Amino acid sequence: MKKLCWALVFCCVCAVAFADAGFNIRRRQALSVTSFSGCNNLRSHELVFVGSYFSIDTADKRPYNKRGEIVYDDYKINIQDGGKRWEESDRNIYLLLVDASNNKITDSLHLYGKDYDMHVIIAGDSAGKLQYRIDSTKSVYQYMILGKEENKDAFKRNRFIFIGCSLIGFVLLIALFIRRKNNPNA
Amino acid sequence: MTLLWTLTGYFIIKALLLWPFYYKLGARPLQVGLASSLAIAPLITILYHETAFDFLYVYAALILMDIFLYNFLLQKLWWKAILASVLLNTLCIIYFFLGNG
Repeated sequence: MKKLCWALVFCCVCAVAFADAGFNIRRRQALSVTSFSGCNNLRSHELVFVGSYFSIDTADKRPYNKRGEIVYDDYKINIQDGGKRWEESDRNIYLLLVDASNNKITDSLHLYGKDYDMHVIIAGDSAGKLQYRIDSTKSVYQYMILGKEENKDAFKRNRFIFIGCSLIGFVLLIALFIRRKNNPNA
Repeated sequence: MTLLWTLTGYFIIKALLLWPFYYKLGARPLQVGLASSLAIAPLITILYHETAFDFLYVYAALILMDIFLYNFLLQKLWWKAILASVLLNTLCIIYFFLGNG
């Protein structure tokens, strides 16, 4: 019995050390989605998504619109933190307005993908400047009940189910306490 | 991780693995395990994804809560409650991190 106890204590120490490693994992939070529309309104320019200005390789002599991804209607940028190599700077969304004829940058747009879903509505380009409007809505974490089939509209229902389950558990615990109090031998 | 898998894992750890510690009490450890799994698993999922709580404190709070539960609902034996609580909650938190990390 004594040996078993020591074995269990040893297991606990190992497991606690293993769990401690998990406390530093950056937790997964609500996905921030940036979407675009109205890209057809750009007449002589292209909107190019580059991860960061600093990621642009100066030795790369290709035109700017070849270095990043050209944004089109319904193009989506999903940002969700998580993983070991995640850095807060990964939330930066840099967009360059590039003149299609000479590949020169005429304007830029910096967005920060956190807590909100953004919808960039592009009205056009005027004198090399981007004309746009941003609609933002609070982003929510997608809770799943049985599988991944749940859609975004199910957020409130799924969250309610989570809270309901938790409440049922606490009610059961209270019932167990009451039963024990009324019957000490239970 | 889905709620179904979270609850299943928590039930296996907190109820089935708790049973050997208190096997003389029959099905009561399973009842306590089931109730505490239902109460805790969804709650910490919400805390994990929607708040910035330090999970080291959440982990410590869960251990304290289970020590209290096992000691008052199952058997008044502190050392057994502490041992079972630390072991099972550690397994739970590892399972939780693996599923949600």
